[in-house]
Formats: sequence, C-alpha cells, structure tokens
Amino acid sequence: MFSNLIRRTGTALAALCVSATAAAQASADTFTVGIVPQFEALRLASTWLPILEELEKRTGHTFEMIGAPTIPAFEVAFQGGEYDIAYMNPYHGVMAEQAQGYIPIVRDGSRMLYGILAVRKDSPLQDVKELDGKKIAFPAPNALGASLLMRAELDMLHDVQVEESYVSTHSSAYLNTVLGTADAAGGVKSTFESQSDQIKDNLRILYETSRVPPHPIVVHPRVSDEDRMAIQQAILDLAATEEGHEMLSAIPMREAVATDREEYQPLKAMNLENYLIKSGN
Amino acid sequence: MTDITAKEQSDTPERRGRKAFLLSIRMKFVMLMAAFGLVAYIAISNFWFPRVNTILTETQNNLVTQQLDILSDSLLPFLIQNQFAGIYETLDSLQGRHPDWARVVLYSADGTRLYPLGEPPMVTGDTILRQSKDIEFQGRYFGKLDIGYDISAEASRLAEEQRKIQYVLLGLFTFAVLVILLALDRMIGNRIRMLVSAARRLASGDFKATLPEASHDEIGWLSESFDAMRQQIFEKERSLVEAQRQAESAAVAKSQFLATMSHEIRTPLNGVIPVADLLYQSELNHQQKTFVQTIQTSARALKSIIDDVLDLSKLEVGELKLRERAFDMHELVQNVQDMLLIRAQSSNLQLILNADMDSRGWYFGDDDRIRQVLINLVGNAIKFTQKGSVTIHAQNYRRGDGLNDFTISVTDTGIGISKDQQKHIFQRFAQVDSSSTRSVEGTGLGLSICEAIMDTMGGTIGVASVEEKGSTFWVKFTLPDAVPAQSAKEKETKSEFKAPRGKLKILVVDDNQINLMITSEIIRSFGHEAFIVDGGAKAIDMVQQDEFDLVLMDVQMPQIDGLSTTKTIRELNSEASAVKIAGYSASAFDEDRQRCIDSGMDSFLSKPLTRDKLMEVFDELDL
Repeated sequence: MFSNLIRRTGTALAALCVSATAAAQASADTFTVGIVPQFEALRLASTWLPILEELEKRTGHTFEMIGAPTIPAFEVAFQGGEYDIAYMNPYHGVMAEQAQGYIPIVRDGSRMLYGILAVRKDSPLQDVKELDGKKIAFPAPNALGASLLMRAELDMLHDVQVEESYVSTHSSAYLNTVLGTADAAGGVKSTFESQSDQIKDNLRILYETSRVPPHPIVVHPRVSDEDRMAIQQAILDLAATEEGHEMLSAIPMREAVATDREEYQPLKAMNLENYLIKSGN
Repeated sequence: MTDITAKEQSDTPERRGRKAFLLSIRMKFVMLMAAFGLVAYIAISNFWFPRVNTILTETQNNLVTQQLDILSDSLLPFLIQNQFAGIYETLDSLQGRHPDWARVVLYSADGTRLYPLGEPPMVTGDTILRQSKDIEFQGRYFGKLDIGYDISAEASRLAEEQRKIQYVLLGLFTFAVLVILLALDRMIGNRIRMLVSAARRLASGDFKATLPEASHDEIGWLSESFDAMRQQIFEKERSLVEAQRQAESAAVAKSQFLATMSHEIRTPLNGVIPVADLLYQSELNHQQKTFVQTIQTSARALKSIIDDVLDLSKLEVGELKLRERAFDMHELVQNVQDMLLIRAQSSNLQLILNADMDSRGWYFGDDDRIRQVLINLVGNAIKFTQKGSVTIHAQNYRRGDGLNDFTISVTDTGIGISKDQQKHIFQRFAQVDSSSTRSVEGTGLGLSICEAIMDTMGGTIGVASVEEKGSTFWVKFTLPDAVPAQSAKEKETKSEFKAPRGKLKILVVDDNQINLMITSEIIRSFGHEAFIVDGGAKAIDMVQQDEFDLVLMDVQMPQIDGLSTTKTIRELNSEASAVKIAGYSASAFDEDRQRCIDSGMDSFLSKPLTRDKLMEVFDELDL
C-alpha cells in the first residue's frame, strides 16, 4: 500500500508534468485506476483486482488501483485527472469529461438509470404537477437518480418546486411517505423493488424520470487512442467469457457494452451541476 | 400368678392396644411432620414464590426501563432526521433478536404511529410489562415509545425452577422424615419393643428377658426402673409361692387332722351309741331311762357333727358321689316331716307339709342326699324359729319328656336373715348368729353341704328372707321318672322292722375288742347267734370249720385286712367260699364301699354299727 502510494504520487506528478507540457501521451505500460467508493475498500479490491489482472494479461499493460476514502475525495481526484482509468456514476462521468476530458468506453448495457417518485397508494396526488409545494423525502442531495435527476426534471420539465427533506437512505424516504411525514419519496426502481411488501403495497409510483445510461468506465485523454481502444476491447472480450461475465457482474456490470461521449450528452444537457448541493468540505 | 399370666396372654385386645400405641408414636410423628410440611408448602407457595415473582417482575421492569432509555436515545437521531429506515432497522432487529419485546410502538410528536407499519399486536396478560417512554431532547418532544415486554419466558423458567425447588424440597423432606423415622425406630421403637417383649415375658413368669442397653435417656431410665420393678416382683413372687406352699401344707395337715379326728371320735362313738341303745332297751327305772336318753341324744348330736365334718372333707376333695335309685318323692317328704315333727312340737312349732305333687311319683335319684338337704333345711328352720310355724312346700312339674322339675321350699316365721348375711349364708362355718353368746348350736356346715349336694345334682339352692319376719329356703332340681314296682317292695320291707326268718349264725371279725363286744351284743339283741374272732387268719379258719349265715368283716385290721381275708375266703375250695360277707369301716367314703365290693364282699356298713344299719344289711342280703 505504501509503495502504491509512492507510485501513485509519482505518477500523479508525472501526469501533472505531462499535462503541463501539454503532452497527451500516456505513460508507456502502467495505468492508474480509480473506483468510486460506493462500497467498502475490501469489497472493491476483491471485485476489481481480478478484473485488472485479466486486463493486464490481455493488454500487456500494468494496472494499479488507487483508492479514495470518500466520494468527495474521489471527485477531487478525478477532477484533478489523477486516474488514467476510472469507474464512476454517470453524473461523475459528465463532471470528469468537463474537468479533464475523460472518455466513457464501456458501460452496463442491461439497464438504464432513472429516478422514480412514489406517493402513498391512497394519496390524492395523481399528477406530478400537483407536487408543487409538497414535501418530498430524498435519500441524499446528490444521489443521481433519486435526487439530482428528479429535482432537475421537476424543476425544468414541470416547473414544480418542492420542499426537500433528506432522510439519508432510500428506505427512509419511502417510509417517510408511507408514514405521512412526506408527500412523496424520491428513489430508484431497484431500491423501490427491494422494499418490503408492506411498504411497496402502500406506495404508488407517480412519476419516472427520463432514462440515462448507467455507470461508465472512463479513460483519461492522455491515454493513447490505441491503448484506450485496446483496453475497451479487452474489457468487452473479457465480458464475452463466462468467467469474465461473472467478474464484471460483481461491479455490477452484467452486460458490458461499448459507449461513448454521445450517450451521456442528454445527461450533460440537464446541467445537473445547478442542482448539485455542495457539502461542507 | 399363673391366672394373671393366662389372662395376659389371651388378652389380645390389650396386646393390640400396645401395638397401636407403638404405631401411634410413628403415626403421630408422621402426622406432625406432614402438618409441618404442609405449613412449609403453603408458606413457600403462597408467600415466598409470589414474592420471588414480584421481585422478578420489578427487576425486569427496571431492566426494561433502562433498555427503553438506551433505545430511545438511539432512536432520537433517526427521529430528528426522519431517518425512519434506521428506526425500522433498529426496532425490527430488536424484535427479531428479542421476541420478548412483544410490542414496540413508536409515535411521532403529533401522535402518528411511526412504527410498526401494520397494526401493532395487542398483548395482554400477567406476564406483559407495559411501559412507555417520551423521547425528548433539550426539552423538545419528539415522540413516544410504547412497549409491551413479555416476561412469560422468564416467568415460566422461574416457575420451572420453583417446581424443581418444590420437588427437591419434597424429596429432601421425605428423605429426612424417613431417616428420622428410621432413627426413631432404632433409638426408641426397637428399645420399646424390647421392653414390651420383656414385660410380656415377665407376665408369663420369665424374669430373664433381655432389656435395652443402659443409656442416659428416658428409655434407659425406664429400663432401669423396669429392671428394679422386675427384681421386686421376682422377690415378692418367691415369697408368695413360699407362703402358698406353706398354706397348702397347712391345709393338707388340717384335712388329715380332720380325717384322723373324725375317725378317732367315731370309734368311741361306735361304742357309746349301740351300748346306749341296748341299755335303753333293758329294764331301767324312769330316771335311768332319762339319763340314757341324754347319752343317746348327746352321742347322736356328736355323730351328726362328725358326719358333717366327714361330708365336708368329701366336699373338699370333690368326692361327693350320688347313689341313684328309684324312690317315692311324696313318701320322702312325708318321712322328713315325720322325723322332725317331734322336734318341732317340742319347740312349740307347727310343722306343716303342703305337698302339691303327683301321688304316684316315683323318680330316679339319690333320695338319701335329698333327704339330707331337706332335713338340714327343716332342722335349721326349727332351730332358728322361736314361735310360729315351719312349712314345707313341695311341688313338681312334669315336663313331658320324662323329666320332672321340683321346687321344695321351707318357710319359717323365725328371726330372718339380713341382706348382708344372705350373701355368705352358704359359705362354710357361716351362721346367722355368729356372736359368742349364740343361742343356737351347729357347725355351720349344713347349708354349704346342701349347696354342694345341689350342685352335684345339677340343682340350685336359694334364700329369700326378711329380718324378724322369717325366711324361705328353696331348692330346685330335675329328676327323671322311674318304674315304681320293685322299689315299692324294697321300701315296704325296709320300712317295717320285720324280724328275720330264723336264728342266724353271724361271725364278727374285728381287731378291736370293744367293737367285737358291742357288735355281738347288737346281733344278740336281734336273737341271733354271734361268733367273734380278732383277726383275718382266724376268720378264714372259722368259716372252714363252721357254717355261717353272715360274716361281718372289719376292713382295717393289722396283718391281714378285711379285703385280703375276703379274697382268700372267696378263693377257698369249699362251700365256705360262698359265705355272705358284709364289710364295715369307720372310713365311709364311696371308694371304701367300692373296694369292699371289688374284693368280693356282698355289702357294706359304715361304723358306728347300729341296729338299723344291720337291719338294712339283713334286708339287702335277704337273710
């Protein structure tokens, strides 16, 4: 870990030097990899290290995973171009592109990301427009599907202004709605489905946001096109194997497909940064 | 002593009583312990266990209060931030892991139920602890926790423990009772049984039974006292046995003395009475006749006393035997009246016979003994009556089965007998007037002899009396019917003093010279011829030399006695062996008579010899 840190620091310095001299060349054989810390470090390592090992075999390059303790730290890191390769949520992808020009290369093709808005089953609310001035429970301010997309669409598409209540988790958001402390809950389909029947049965989905592609793997523009293409192909090849499919499913990425900047343009167009709520740090 | 022993041994209820007493000690102990156990059980189950339950409930309540505090603290942040998932996670997990939190309900500040989503379970019962806790922070009210904590698991565990304690206590208690019972049995029961056995053996005359070992406790002291008592009883019994032995030998000596005396008195009387009789029949002037009469009366009175004493000796040895034959009861009673009429008249008394009986009444029984009883009763009545009358009342009842019930009473107008005296009037030597200056004579044996005779006959005797008014003595007895014919003839010949057909030759054998003289005088007074010899050997010679109509043979003689002499004569090889022999003896018991008959004699007379007795023998032997 210590040697990693030195190497990482070294690489970062080198990268800075390179970027300072406007040299867009990636360093020859070794690439740094950053993963959004949405799970604990051990789980991330056990998921990603075997994948990176496979990629090393397939590309002949060396991949080094660089950890980030928190999501804000991760944001700072990729906005500073610290990673040659990174895995992040779609909005981070937009942010990364805007900051460093990161290019999405692979995403999960099995699903699309969208937010939902749930009300009590017996709620009089029938249309999203009726939510104006209502209290809506969200898990966290910057949760992409449940919060950012939802707030952006409510504001931009429906011109609906709501009272926001952040209750930490999706379940709390749903419970606040069921128990009547909030008029509606922002969430995503998967968390909604994972609620107990008692909660689900008492809720009704009133609204769904537009769909966006899910988490991409992005590559820094300093990595050569050749290498980028090689890495993309190696991932796709890996996904084609049974073993590789299983490895990638743990990310989770059940069906790896090639992607590009184009696919994330609608998301970028939503200007979600306007809805981003900065935390203390 | 032996009587008491027999009584003790056969007295099973008493033994059962003793056993019951022993049992009852055990029973009492067991019942006492059972009562104690019951009280302890009631105390434990009604006071102690409920108290333990209360303490458990209180403890649980405190524990729940503490946990509720912690829980509300942990829920507070979630509640402030509406993080209901945290609340649900916490409470679901709590209830999942601890089912005894039977009901957990969380209300928000406005009273809305936040948890659970569905209707909370309504839990009730003794084992549910209900508590509620307001959730507050810095004076602000955020909600309320309302819980029902189910202590049934703890309660049933406690109940199980209590049951076990009960079983263990019951087991221990039973064990203790058994051990104590065993110990009691060993320390008390066995030793008491030993004492009881020793007491029983003591009762049966065994003074050697083992006693419980000496010990310094109550039973030890009891054993010591018992041993001391046993020692004393042993000593006393020994002296009593000694005293009894002495008394018995004294009684034997007395009986022997009486027998000897009566024999010794009879012998001279044997001389006096017949000689007086003979003298009276000789030519005497009036004054001499009066003197002889006095001699006769005195001698007969003396003989009567001797007869009584002899009868008494027979009673004492239980040898009174009945000589039964057919007789006329009416005649018997009439005879008694005749015999005593003179005596009554001489006392200026009327002697009335009031016989209410079958005129042709012949019965089978001992007429001599019945006569003796009646003479005694009538004689007594005359003796104790100053003026008035003596009435003999005789009646019979023919039962129809060949038996006849007789009641004969003698009523006088005499001095009477007090109630006290009536009680022991039939005792020997008892007389109504036992003062030193008594006005009547007699041995006082008469009534006891009468009673003994009645006993032997299977009859009864009794008295009813009022002092200064008079007394009635009665006897009751039963006799079978008898055929009169032969007896009538016998009686007829007996009653008449008919002279024998001719002059008889009679040989008298006696070692006593006076007896020889008197007997031969009596024989001669009948006009018969008397020959005398003073020993058995001479008699045997005489009967072979001469022919005799009768031999009067004294039974007791030195050298060859009358019995041996008779046997020898009967074994002679001549006509002399068939000579008629009558034995006579001062000893007049029935077995004396039987021994004479067995030796070959034809008849028997008791001394002193009288003309009447001789007449009877002549009649009996048809001479």
